Amino acid sequence: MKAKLGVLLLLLPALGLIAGFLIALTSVLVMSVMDSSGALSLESYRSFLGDERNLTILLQSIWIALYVTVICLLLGYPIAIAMSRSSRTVASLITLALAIQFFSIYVVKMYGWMLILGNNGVINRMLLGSGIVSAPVKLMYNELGVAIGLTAAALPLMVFPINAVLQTISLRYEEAALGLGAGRLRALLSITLPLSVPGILSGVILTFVFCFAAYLTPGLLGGGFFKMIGNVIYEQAVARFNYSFAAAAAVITLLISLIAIVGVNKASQVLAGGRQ
Amino acid sequence: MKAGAARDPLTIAATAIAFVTLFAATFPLFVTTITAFNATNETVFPPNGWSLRWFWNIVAQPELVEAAAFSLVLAVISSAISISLGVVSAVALTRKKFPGRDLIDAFLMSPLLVPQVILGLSFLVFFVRIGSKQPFLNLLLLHVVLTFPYALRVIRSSLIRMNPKLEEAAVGLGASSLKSFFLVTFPQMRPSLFVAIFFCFVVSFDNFTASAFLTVSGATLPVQIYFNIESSLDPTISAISALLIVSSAFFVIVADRVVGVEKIV
Repeated sequence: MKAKLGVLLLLLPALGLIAGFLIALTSVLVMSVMDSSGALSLESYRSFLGDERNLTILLQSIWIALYVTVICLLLGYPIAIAMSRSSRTVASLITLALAIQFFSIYVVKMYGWMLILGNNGVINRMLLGSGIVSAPVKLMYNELGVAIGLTAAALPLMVFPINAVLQTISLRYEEAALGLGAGRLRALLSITLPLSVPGILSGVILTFVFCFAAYLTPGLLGGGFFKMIGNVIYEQAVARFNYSFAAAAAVITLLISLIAIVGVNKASQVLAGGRQ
Repeated sequence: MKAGAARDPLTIAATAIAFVTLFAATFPLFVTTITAFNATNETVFPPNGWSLRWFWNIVAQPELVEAAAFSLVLAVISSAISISLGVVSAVALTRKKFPGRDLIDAFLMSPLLVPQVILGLSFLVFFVRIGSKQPFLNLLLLHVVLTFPYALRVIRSSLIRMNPKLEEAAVGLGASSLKSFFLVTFPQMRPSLFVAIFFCFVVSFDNFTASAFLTVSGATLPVQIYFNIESSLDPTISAISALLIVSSAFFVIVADRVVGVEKIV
Protein backbone atom coordinates (compact mmCIF):
# COMPACT_ATOMS: atom_id res chain seq x y z
CA MET A 1 0.00 0.00 0.00
CA LYS A 2 2.81 2.35 0.92
CA ALA A 3 4.56 1.53 -2.37
CA LYS A 4 1.39 2.37 -4.33
CA LEU A 5 1.12 5.73 -2.60
CA GLY A 6 4.76 6.34 -3.49
CA VAL A 7 4.04 5.63 -7.16
CA LEU A 8 1.16 8.07 -7.13
CA LEU A 9 3.36 10.76 -5.59
CA LEU A 10 6.03 10.18 -8.25
CA LEU A 11 3.45 10.42 -11.03
CA LEU A 12 1.57 13.37 -9.59
CA PRO A 13 3.55 16.21 -11.27
CA ALA A 14 3.31 14.60 -14.72
CA LEU A 15 -0.37 13.77 -14.26
CA GLY A 16 -1.02 17.38 -13.25
CA LEU A 17 0.82 18.65 -16.32
CA ILE A 18 -1.13 16.48 -18.77
CA ALA A 19 -4.39 17.18 -16.94
CA GLY A 20 -3.65 20.87 -17.51
CA PHE A 21 -3.18 20.13 -21.21
CA LEU A 22 -6.50 18.25 -21.37
CA ILE A 23 -8.25 21.15 -19.61
CA ALA A 24 -6.80 23.47 -22.26
CA LEU A 25 -7.99 21.10 -24.98
CA THR A 26 -11.46 20.97 -23.42
CA SER A 27 -11.59 24.76 -23.33
CA VAL A 28 -11.43 24.67 -27.16
CA LEU A 29 -14.41 22.31 -27.20
CA VAL A 30 -16.32 24.60 -24.83
CA MET A 31 -15.33 27.69 -26.80
CA SER A 32 -16.58 26.12 -30.04
CA VAL A 33 -20.17 25.85 -28.75
CA MET A 34 -20.35 29.40 -27.36
CA ASP A 35 -21.50 32.56 -29.11
CA SER A 36 -19.96 35.99 -28.52
CA SER A 37 -22.10 36.60 -25.42
CA GLY A 38 -21.06 33.29 -23.88
CA ALA A 39 -24.38 31.51 -24.38
CA LEU A 40 -24.58 27.94 -25.68
CA SER A 41 -24.88 27.99 -29.46
CA LEU A 42 -23.82 26.13 -32.58
CA GLU A 43 -23.41 29.39 -34.48
CA SER A 44 -19.66 28.87 -35.09
CA TYR A 45 -20.17 25.44 -36.64
CA ARG A 46 -23.03 26.84 -38.73
CA SER A 47 -20.95 29.71 -40.04
CA PHE A 48 -17.94 27.45 -40.70
CA LEU A 49 -19.88 24.75 -42.53
CA GLY A 50 -22.21 27.28 -44.18
CA ASP A 51 -19.37 29.07 -45.97
CA GLU A 52 -18.33 27.41 -49.19
CA ARG A 53 -14.78 28.84 -48.98
CA ASN A 54 -14.16 27.02 -45.69
CA LEU A 55 -15.48 23.74 -47.09
CA THR A 56 -13.26 24.08 -50.15
CA ILE A 57 -10.24 24.68 -47.91
CA LEU A 58 -11.19 21.72 -45.72
CA LEU A 59 -11.59 19.41 -48.71
CA GLN A 60 -8.37 20.52 -50.37
CA SER A 61 -6.55 20.01 -47.04
CA ILE A 62 -7.80 16.41 -46.91
CA TRP A 63 -6.97 15.84 -50.58
CA ILE A 64 -3.42 17.22 -50.44
CA ALA A 65 -2.74 15.31 -47.19
CA LEU A 66 -3.96 12.11 -48.88
CA TYR A 67 -1.80 12.32 -51.97
CA VAL A 68 1.26 13.60 -50.12
CA THR A 69 0.89 10.57 -47.81
CA VAL A 70 0.85 8.28 -50.87
CA ILE A 71 3.92 10.00 -52.35
CA CYS A 72 5.73 9.74 -48.99
CA LEU A 73 4.90 6.02 -48.83
CA LEU A 74 6.12 5.40 -52.40
CA LEU A 75 9.40 7.26 -51.71
CA GLY A 76 9.72 6.29 -48.05
CA TYR A 77 9.33 2.51 -48.34
CA PRO A 78 12.33 2.07 -50.66
CA ILE A 79 14.34 4.39 -48.37
CA ALA A 80 13.48 2.22 -45.37
CA ILE A 81 14.37 -0.90 -47.39
CA ALA A 82 17.72 0.68 -48.30
CA MET A 83 18.32 1.61 -44.63
CA SER A 84 17.72 -1.93 -43.41
CA ARG A 85 19.39 -3.89 -46.22
CA SER A 86 22.30 -2.10 -47.82
CA SER A 87 25.83 -2.37 -46.47
CA ARG A 88 26.53 -0.81 -43.08
CA THR A 89 28.31 2.24 -44.56
CA VAL A 90 25.57 3.02 -47.08
CA ALA A 91 22.81 2.44 -44.51
CA SER A 92 24.36 4.78 -41.95
CA LEU A 93 25.00 7.39 -44.64
CA ILE A 94 21.30 7.31 -45.59
CA THR A 95 20.21 7.41 -41.94
CA LEU A 96 22.53 10.31 -41.20
CA ALA A 97 21.31 12.32 -44.21
CA LEU A 98 17.69 11.71 -43.23
CA ALA A 99 18.40 12.63 -39.59
CA ILE A 100 20.16 15.86 -40.58
CA GLN A 101 17.20 16.79 -42.80
CA PHE A 102 14.68 15.79 -40.11
CA PHE A 103 16.37 17.66 -37.27
CA SER A 104 16.97 20.92 -39.14
CA ILE A 105 14.63 23.71 -38.14
CA TYR A 106 11.26 23.29 -39.91
CA VAL A 107 10.91 26.95 -40.88
CA VAL A 108 14.46 26.89 -42.28
CA LYS A 109 13.67 23.81 -44.40
CA MET A 110 10.65 25.53 -45.92
CA TYR A 111 12.65 28.72 -46.49
CA GLY A 112 15.15 26.55 -48.38
CA TRP A 113 12.36 25.31 -50.65
CA MET A 114 11.32 28.92 -51.32
CA LEU A 115 14.88 29.56 -52.55
CA ILE A 116 14.55 26.54 -54.87
CA LEU A 117 11.00 27.10 -56.16
CA GLY A 118 10.64 30.90 -56.23
CA ASN A 119 10.50 33.04 -59.37
CA ASN A 120 14.16 33.91 -58.78
CA GLY A 121 14.87 30.45 -57.35
CA VAL A 122 17.33 27.76 -58.41
CA ILE A 123 14.98 25.92 -60.80
CA ASN A 124 13.67 29.02 -62.56
CA ARG A 125 17.15 30.51 -62.95
CA MET A 126 18.27 27.26 -64.56
CA LEU A 127 15.26 27.12 -66.86
CA LEU A 128 15.54 30.80 -67.82
CA GLY A 129 19.32 30.66 -68.17
CA SER A 130 19.19 27.72 -70.55
CA GLY A 131 16.42 29.34 -72.55
CA ILE A 132 13.90 26.53 -72.02
CA VAL A 133 11.33 29.04 -70.80
CA SER A 134 11.07 32.78 -71.36
CA ALA A 135 9.13 33.62 -68.18
CA PRO A 136 9.47 32.09 -64.68
CA VAL A 137 7.38 28.96 -64.11
CA LYS A 138 5.08 29.21 -61.10
CA LEU A 139 6.34 26.53 -58.71
CA MET A 140 5.23 28.02 -55.40
CA TYR A 141 2.47 30.18 -53.95
CA ASN A 142 0.23 27.41 -55.30
CA GLU A 143 -0.76 23.83 -54.52
CA LEU A 144 2.36 22.38 -56.16
CA GLY A 145 4.70 24.30 -53.85
CA VAL A 146 2.74 23.28 -50.75
CA ALA A 147 2.72 19.63 -51.87
CA ILE A 148 6.50 19.66 -52.42
CA GLY A 149 7.12 21.31 -49.03
CA LEU A 150 4.82 18.90 -47.20
CA THR A 151 6.42 15.88 -48.87
CA ALA A 152 9.88 17.05 -47.78
CA ALA A 153 8.75 17.83 -44.24
CA ALA A 154 6.76 14.61 -43.74
CA LEU A 155 9.05 12.07 -45.45
CA PRO A 156 11.02 11.15 -42.27
CA LEU A 157 7.72 10.61 -40.42
CA MET A 158 6.98 7.86 -42.95
CA VAL A 159 10.48 6.36 -43.12
CA PHE A 160 11.30 6.05 -39.40
CA PRO A 161 8.40 3.81 -38.30
CA ILE A 162 8.72 1.59 -41.41
CA ASN A 163 12.47 1.28 -40.85
CA ALA A 164 11.90 0.40 -37.18
CA VAL A 165 9.67 -2.52 -38.21
CA LEU A 166 11.87 -3.65 -41.11
CA GLN A 167 14.87 -3.87 -38.76
CA THR A 168 13.02 -6.53 -36.76
CA ILE A 169 12.02 -8.69 -39.78
CA SER A 170 14.52 -11.45 -40.45
CA LEU A 171 15.73 -11.71 -44.04
CA ARG A 172 15.51 -15.48 -43.66
CA TYR A 173 11.80 -15.48 -44.47
CA GLU A 174 12.50 -13.94 -47.85
CA GLU A 175 15.46 -16.24 -48.37
CA ALA A 176 13.12 -19.16 -47.75
CA ALA A 177 10.73 -17.81 -50.39
CA LEU A 178 13.64 -17.35 -52.82
CA GLY A 179 14.76 -20.90 -52.10
CA LEU A 180 11.27 -22.09 -52.96
CA GLY A 181 11.52 -20.37 -56.33
CA ALA A 182 9.85 -16.97 -55.81
CA GLY A 183 11.38 -13.97 -57.58
CA ARG A 184 12.93 -11.18 -55.49
CA LEU A 185 10.05 -8.79 -56.12
CA ARG A 186 7.45 -11.44 -55.32
CA ALA A 187 9.30 -12.37 -52.12
CA LEU A 188 9.40 -8.71 -51.07
CA LEU A 189 5.75 -8.08 -51.89
CA SER A 190 4.33 -11.26 -50.43
CA ILE A 191 6.61 -11.74 -47.39
CA THR A 192 8.20 -8.50 -46.19
CA LEU A 193 5.51 -6.02 -47.22
CA PRO A 194 2.69 -7.71 -45.22
CA LEU A 195 5.00 -8.13 -42.21
CA SER A 196 5.83 -4.43 -42.28
CA VAL A 197 2.19 -3.28 -42.27
CA PRO A 198 2.33 -2.04 -38.63
CA GLY A 199 5.19 0.32 -39.56
CA ILE A 200 3.36 1.47 -42.71
CA LEU A 201 0.23 2.21 -40.66
CA SER A 202 2.07 4.36 -38.10
CA GLY A 203 3.87 6.12 -40.93
CA VAL A 204 0.62 6.75 -42.83
CA ILE A 205 -1.17 8.08 -39.73
CA LEU A 206 1.72 10.35 -38.68
CA THR A 207 2.14 11.70 -42.22
CA PHE A 208 -1.54 12.24 -42.89
CA VAL A 209 -2.27 14.05 -39.62
CA PHE A 210 0.89 16.15 -39.92
CA CYS A 211 0.00 17.23 -43.49
CA PHE A 212 -3.72 17.69 -42.93
CA ALA A 213 -3.22 20.05 -39.96
CA ALA A 214 -0.18 21.82 -41.47
CA TYR A 215 0.12 25.55 -40.99
CA LEU A 216 3.74 26.56 -41.59
CA THR A 217 4.18 24.96 -45.05
CA PRO A 218 0.99 26.36 -46.64
CA GLY A 219 1.75 29.66 -44.91
CA LEU A 220 5.14 30.05 -46.61
CA LEU A 221 4.88 28.01 -49.82
CA GLY A 222 1.17 28.72 -50.33
CA GLY A 223 1.75 32.39 -49.60
CA GLY A 224 -1.96 33.06 -49.07
CA PHE A 225 -2.86 31.70 -52.53
CA PHE A 226 -3.24 28.10 -51.40
CA LYS A 227 -4.70 27.88 -47.92
CA MET A 228 -5.18 24.91 -45.64
CA ILE A 229 -7.38 24.45 -42.60
CA GLY A 230 -4.48 25.28 -40.26
CA ASN A 231 -4.20 28.74 -41.85
CA VAL A 232 -7.92 29.35 -41.27
CA ILE A 233 -7.64 28.38 -37.59
CA TYR A 234 -4.59 30.60 -37.09
CA GLU A 235 -6.02 33.63 -38.92
CA GLN A 236 -9.34 33.47 -37.10
CA ALA A 237 -7.75 33.03 -33.67
CA VAL A 238 -4.68 35.25 -33.80
CA ALA A 239 -5.53 37.95 -36.35
CA ARG A 240 -9.29 38.27 -35.77
CA PHE A 241 -9.65 37.13 -32.12
CA ASN A 242 -12.57 35.01 -33.37
CA TYR A 243 -11.83 32.22 -30.88
CA SER A 244 -15.21 30.54 -31.16
CA PHE A 245 -14.95 30.15 -34.94
CA ALA A 246 -11.31 28.99 -34.72
CA ALA A 247 -12.35 26.50 -32.03
CA ALA A 248 -15.13 25.06 -34.22
CA ALA A 249 -12.67 24.67 -37.11
CA ALA A 250 -10.18 23.03 -34.71
CA VAL A 251 -12.77 20.56 -33.40
CA ILE A 252 -13.69 19.61 -36.98
CA THR A 253 -9.96 19.18 -37.79
CA LEU A 254 -9.44 17.01 -34.72
CA LEU A 255 -12.50 14.89 -35.58
CA ILE A 256 -11.29 14.28 -39.14
CA SER A 257 -7.82 13.34 -37.81
CA LEU A 258 -9.39 10.87 -35.37
CA ILE A 259 -11.63 9.40 -38.10
CA ALA A 260 -8.52 8.97 -40.28
CA ILE A 261 -6.65 7.20 -37.44
CA VAL A 262 -9.55 4.88 -36.66
CA GLY A 263 -10.24 4.32 -40.37
CA VAL A 264 -6.64 3.33 -41.14
CA ASN A 265 -6.63 0.89 -38.21
CA LYS A 266 -9.97 -0.62 -39.27
CA ALA A 267 -8.82 -0.91 -42.89
CA SER A 268 -5.75 -2.80 -41.75
CA GLN A 269 -7.88 -5.22 -39.74
CA VAL A 270 -10.06 -5.85 -42.78
CA LEU A 271 -6.95 -6.36 -44.92
CA ALA A 272 -5.47 -8.75 -42.35
CA GLY A 273 -8.77 -10.63 -42.17
CA GLY A 274 -9.01 -10.84 -45.96
CA ARG A 275 -5.63 -12.54 -46.23
CA GLN A 276 -6.40 -15.35 -43.85
CA MET B 1 25.37 -11.43 -44.29
CA LYS B 2 24.31 -7.87 -45.02
CA ALA B 3 26.94 -7.50 -47.73
CA GLY B 4 25.45 -10.40 -49.68
CA ALA B 5 21.96 -8.95 -49.46
CA ALA B 6 23.20 -5.61 -50.75
CA ARG B 7 24.02 -7.10 -54.14
CA ASP B 8 20.46 -8.04 -55.03
CA PRO B 9 18.90 -5.77 -57.67
CA LEU B 10 15.94 -4.73 -55.47
CA THR B 11 18.16 -3.37 -52.72
CA ILE B 12 20.27 -1.58 -55.31
CA ALA B 13 17.14 0.00 -56.80
CA ALA B 14 15.89 1.00 -53.32
CA THR B 15 19.28 2.50 -52.50
CA ALA B 16 19.22 4.48 -55.75
CA ILE B 17 15.74 5.86 -54.90
CA ALA B 18 16.99 6.68 -51.39
CA PHE B 19 20.00 8.61 -52.69
CA VAL B 20 18.03 10.62 -55.25
CA THR B 21 15.23 11.44 -52.78
CA LEU B 22 17.58 12.39 -49.97
CA PHE B 23 19.65 14.49 -52.33
CA ALA B 24 16.48 16.41 -53.24
CA ALA B 25 15.42 16.63 -49.58
CA THR B 26 18.75 18.01 -48.35
CA PHE B 27 19.54 20.18 -51.39
CA PRO B 28 17.50 23.17 -50.03
CA LEU B 29 19.63 23.12 -46.86
CA PHE B 30 22.77 23.31 -48.99
CA VAL B 31 21.31 26.10 -51.17
CA THR B 32 20.24 28.09 -48.10
CA THR B 33 23.72 27.87 -46.59
CA ILE B 34 25.42 29.00 -49.81
CA THR B 35 23.02 31.92 -50.42
CA ALA B 36 24.08 33.34 -47.04
CA PHE B 37 27.40 34.28 -48.69
CA ASN B 38 25.83 36.47 -51.41
CA ALA B 39 27.62 39.75 -52.11
CA THR B 40 24.46 41.74 -52.95
CA ASN B 41 21.05 41.80 -51.28
CA GLU B 42 19.70 39.28 -53.79
CA THR B 43 19.20 35.86 -52.16
CA VAL B 44 20.19 33.79 -55.18
CA PHE B 45 21.96 30.52 -55.92
CA PRO B 46 24.64 30.40 -57.21
CA PRO B 47 25.64 33.65 -55.44
CA ASN B 48 26.53 36.68 -57.54
CA GLY B 49 29.74 37.31 -55.60
CA TRP B 50 30.92 36.36 -52.14
CA SER B 51 30.81 38.17 -48.79
CA LEU B 52 30.29 37.60 -45.08
CA ARG B 53 28.27 40.79 -44.59
CA TRP B 54 24.92 39.02 -43.99
CA PHE B 55 26.37 37.13 -41.05
CA TRP B 56 27.41 40.46 -39.50
CA ASN B 57 23.98 41.80 -40.35
CA ILE B 58 22.38 39.24 -37.97
CA VAL B 59 23.87 41.16 -35.06
CA ALA B 60 22.46 44.40 -36.53
CA GLN B 61 18.94 42.96 -36.23
CA PRO B 62 18.30 42.95 -32.47
CA GLU B 63 14.97 41.11 -32.85
CA LEU B 64 16.80 38.07 -34.30
CA VAL B 65 19.41 38.03 -31.53
CA GLU B 66 16.77 38.48 -28.83
CA ALA B 67 14.59 35.74 -30.34
CA ALA B 68 17.58 33.38 -30.49
CA ALA B 69 18.40 34.03 -26.82
CA PHE B 70 14.73 33.64 -25.86
CA SER B 71 14.43 30.31 -27.72
CA LEU B 72 17.66 29.01 -26.17
CA VAL B 73 16.54 29.82 -22.62
CA LEU B 74 13.08 28.39 -23.31
CA ALA B 75 14.53 25.17 -24.74
CA VAL B 76 16.99 24.71 -21.86
CA ILE B 77 14.45 25.29 -19.08
CA SER B 78 11.61 23.30 -20.69
CA SER B 79 13.97 20.39 -21.45
CA ALA B 80 15.27 20.38 -17.87
CA ILE B 81 11.73 20.27 -16.47
CA SER B 82 10.56 17.62 -18.96
CA ILE B 83 13.54 15.36 -18.33
CA SER B 84 13.19 15.59 -14.52
CA LEU B 85 9.49 14.78 -14.86
CA GLY B 86 10.34 12.07 -17.39
CA VAL B 87 12.83 10.31 -15.09
CA VAL B 88 10.49 10.37 -12.10
CA SER B 89 7.45 9.20 -14.11
CA ALA B 90 9.38 6.53 -16.02
CA VAL B 91 10.68 5.06 -12.74
CA ALA B 92 7.13 4.96 -11.35
CA LEU B 93 5.77 3.39 -14.54
CA THR B 94 8.42 0.69 -14.95
CA ARG B 95 9.50 -0.24 -11.43
CA LYS B 96 6.08 -0.66 -9.83
CA LYS B 97 3.08 -2.70 -10.92
CA PHE B 98 -0.30 -1.12 -10.26
CA PRO B 99 -3.76 -1.21 -11.83
CA GLY B 100 -4.35 1.25 -14.66
CA ARG B 101 -0.66 1.57 -15.48
CA ASP B 102 -1.13 1.31 -19.26
CA LEU B 103 -3.97 3.81 -19.08
CA ILE B 104 -1.81 6.34 -17.22
CA ASP B 105 0.96 5.70 -19.72
CA ALA B 106 -1.37 6.45 -22.65
CA PHE B 107 -2.70 9.50 -20.82
CA LEU B 108 0.81 10.90 -20.34
CA MET B 109 1.66 10.34 -24.03
CA SER B 110 -1.58 11.92 -25.28
CA PRO B 111 -0.16 15.34 -26.31
CA LEU B 112 1.65 13.55 -29.18
CA LEU B 113 -1.68 12.59 -30.74
CA VAL B 114 -2.98 16.14 -31.02
CA PRO B 115 -2.02 18.17 -34.11
CA GLN B 116 0.16 21.20 -33.35
CA VAL B 117 -2.36 23.81 -34.52
CA ILE B 118 -4.90 22.44 -32.07
CA LEU B 119 -2.34 22.33 -29.24
CA GLY B 120 -1.46 25.95 -29.97
CA LEU B 121 -5.08 27.06 -30.14
CA SER B 122 -5.90 25.16 -26.91
CA PHE B 123 -3.24 26.98 -24.96
CA LEU B 124 -4.16 30.32 -26.53
CA VAL B 125 -7.83 29.92 -25.57
CA PHE B 126 -6.87 28.60 -22.14
CA PHE B 127 -4.52 31.51 -21.36
CA VAL B 128 -7.03 34.05 -22.67
CA ARG B 129 -9.71 32.58 -20.40
CA ILE B 130 -7.58 32.56 -17.27
CA GLY B 131 -6.17 35.98 -18.23
CA SER B 132 -2.51 34.90 -18.19
CA LYS B 133 -0.40 37.56 -19.91
CA GLN B 134 3.03 36.07 -19.18
CA PRO B 135 4.49 35.22 -22.63
CA PHE B 136 7.48 33.35 -21.22
CA LEU B 137 5.56 31.29 -18.66
CA ASN B 138 2.79 30.53 -21.18
CA LEU B 139 5.31 29.29 -23.73
CA LEU B 140 7.21 27.39 -21.03
CA LEU B 141 4.09 25.43 -20.09
CA LEU B 142 3.35 24.71 -23.76
CA HIS B 143 6.91 23.53 -24.38
CA VAL B 144 6.96 21.27 -21.33
CA VAL B 145 3.75 19.65 -22.61
CA LEU B 146 5.33 19.31 -26.07
CA THR B 147 8.63 17.81 -24.89
CA PHE B 148 7.61 15.71 -21.87
CA PRO B 149 6.17 12.75 -23.88
CA TYR B 150 9.49 12.41 -25.78
CA ALA B 151 11.47 12.44 -22.53
CA LEU B 152 9.13 9.86 -21.00
CA ARG B 153 9.22 7.57 -24.04
CA VAL B 154 13.00 7.52 -24.35
CA ILE B 155 13.74 7.13 -20.62
CA ARG B 156 11.00 4.56 -20.06
CA SER B 157 12.21 2.32 -22.90
CA SER B 158 15.75 2.37 -21.47
CA LEU B 159 14.43 1.45 -18.00
CA ILE B 160 12.43 -1.45 -19.45
CA ARG B 161 15.57 -2.83 -21.07
CA MET B 162 17.52 -2.63 -17.80
CA ASN B 163 17.91 -5.59 -15.48
CA PRO B 164 16.01 -4.77 -12.25
CA LYS B 165 18.02 -7.51 -10.51
CA LEU B 166 21.06 -5.21 -10.44
CA GLU B 167 19.19 -2.63 -8.39
CA GLU B 168 17.73 -5.38 -6.18
CA ALA B 169 21.23 -6.74 -5.64
CA ALA B 170 22.41 -3.32 -4.43
CA VAL B 171 19.47 -3.15 -2.04
CA GLY B 172 20.23 -6.70 -0.90
CA LEU B 173 23.79 -5.60 -0.15
CA GLY B 174 22.47 -2.89 2.14
CA ALA B 175 22.06 0.19 -0.10
CA SER B 176 18.94 2.29 0.39
CA SER B 177 16.62 2.26 -2.64
CA LEU B 178 17.49 5.89 -3.35
CA LYS B 179 21.20 5.12 -3.12
CA SER B 180 20.88 2.08 -5.37
CA PHE B 181 18.98 4.18 -7.90
CA PHE B 182 21.73 6.78 -8.08
CA LEU B 183 24.63 4.31 -7.98
CA VAL B 184 23.23 1.50 -10.12
CA THR B 185 20.32 2.60 -12.30
CA PHE B 186 21.20 6.21 -13.05
CA PRO B 187 24.63 5.46 -14.60
CA GLN B 188 22.97 2.95 -16.96
CA MET B 189 20.45 5.61 -17.98
CA ARG B 190 23.06 8.04 -19.26
CA PRO B 191 22.82 7.20 -23.00
CA SER B 192 19.04 7.50 -22.89
CA LEU B 193 19.28 10.78 -20.98
CA PHE B 194 21.52 12.07 -23.74
CA VAL B 195 18.93 11.06 -26.35
CA ALA B 196 16.13 12.61 -24.25
CA ILE B 197 18.01 15.90 -23.88
CA PHE B 198 18.64 15.93 -27.63
CA PHE B 199 14.95 15.32 -28.45
CA CYS B 200 13.54 17.78 -25.90
CA PHE B 201 15.93 20.50 -26.94
CA VAL B 202 15.21 20.09 -30.67
CA VAL B 203 11.43 19.78 -30.21
CA SER B 204 11.35 22.96 -28.14
CA PHE B 205 13.86 25.03 -30.11
CA ASP B 206 12.36 24.01 -33.48
CA ASN B 207 8.71 24.41 -32.53
CA PHE B 208 6.88 26.85 -34.75
CA THR B 209 3.27 25.83 -35.21
CA ALA B 210 2.02 25.64 -31.62
CA SER B 211 4.26 28.49 -30.42
CA ALA B 212 3.03 30.86 -33.15
CA PHE B 213 -0.35 30.98 -31.39
CA LEU B 214 1.26 32.35 -28.22
CA THR B 215 3.74 34.86 -29.66
CA VAL B 216 2.13 37.43 -31.92
CA SER B 217 5.20 39.65 -31.72
CA GLY B 218 7.53 36.81 -32.68
CA ALA B 219 9.30 35.98 -29.44
CA THR B 220 10.79 32.63 -30.45
CA LEU B 221 13.41 32.28 -33.17
CA PRO B 222 11.37 30.13 -35.63
CA VAL B 223 8.41 32.54 -35.34
CA GLN B 224 10.70 35.54 -35.81
CA ILE B 225 12.31 33.94 -38.88
CA TYR B 226 8.84 33.25 -40.30
CA PHE B 227 7.84 36.90 -39.91
CA ASN B 228 11.11 38.04 -41.49
CA ILE B 229 10.57 35.70 -44.47
CA GLU B 230 7.08 37.12 -44.95
CA SER B 231 8.32 40.71 -44.90
CA SER B 232 11.49 40.43 -46.99
CA LEU B 233 13.83 37.86 -48.45
CA ASP B 234 17.19 39.50 -47.78
CA PRO B 235 20.13 37.14 -47.26
CA THR B 236 20.24 37.82 -43.48
CA ILE B 237 17.61 35.07 -43.17
CA SER B 238 19.90 32.76 -45.12
CA ALA B 239 22.77 33.68 -42.78
CA ILE B 240 20.88 32.83 -39.59
CA SER B 241 19.45 29.74 -41.32
CA ALA B 242 22.96 28.67 -42.33
CA LEU B 243 24.09 28.93 -38.68
CA LEU B 244 21.08 26.84 -37.60
CA ILE B 245 21.61 24.21 -40.35
CA VAL B 246 25.29 23.83 -39.52
CA SER B 247 24.64 23.59 -35.77
CA SER B 248 21.81 21.05 -36.06
CA ALA B 249 23.91 18.95 -38.47
CA PHE B 250 26.77 19.21 -35.97
CA PHE B 251 24.55 18.00 -33.10
CA VAL B 252 23.17 15.11 -35.18
CA ILE B 253 26.73 14.03 -36.00
CA VAL B 254 27.75 14.33 -32.32
CA ALA B 255 24.70 12.27 -31.36
CA ASP B 256 25.71 9.70 -34.00
CA ARG B 257 29.21 9.46 -32.48
CA VAL B 258 27.94 9.27 -28.87
CA VAL B 259 24.92 6.95 -29.07
CA GLY B 260 24.59 6.05 -32.78
CA VAL B 261 22.22 7.82 -35.14
CA GLU B 262 19.75 4.90 -35.14
CA LYS B 263 18.95 5.76 -31.50
CA ILE B 264 17.62 9.20 -32.40
CA VAL B 265 15.47 8.29 -35.39
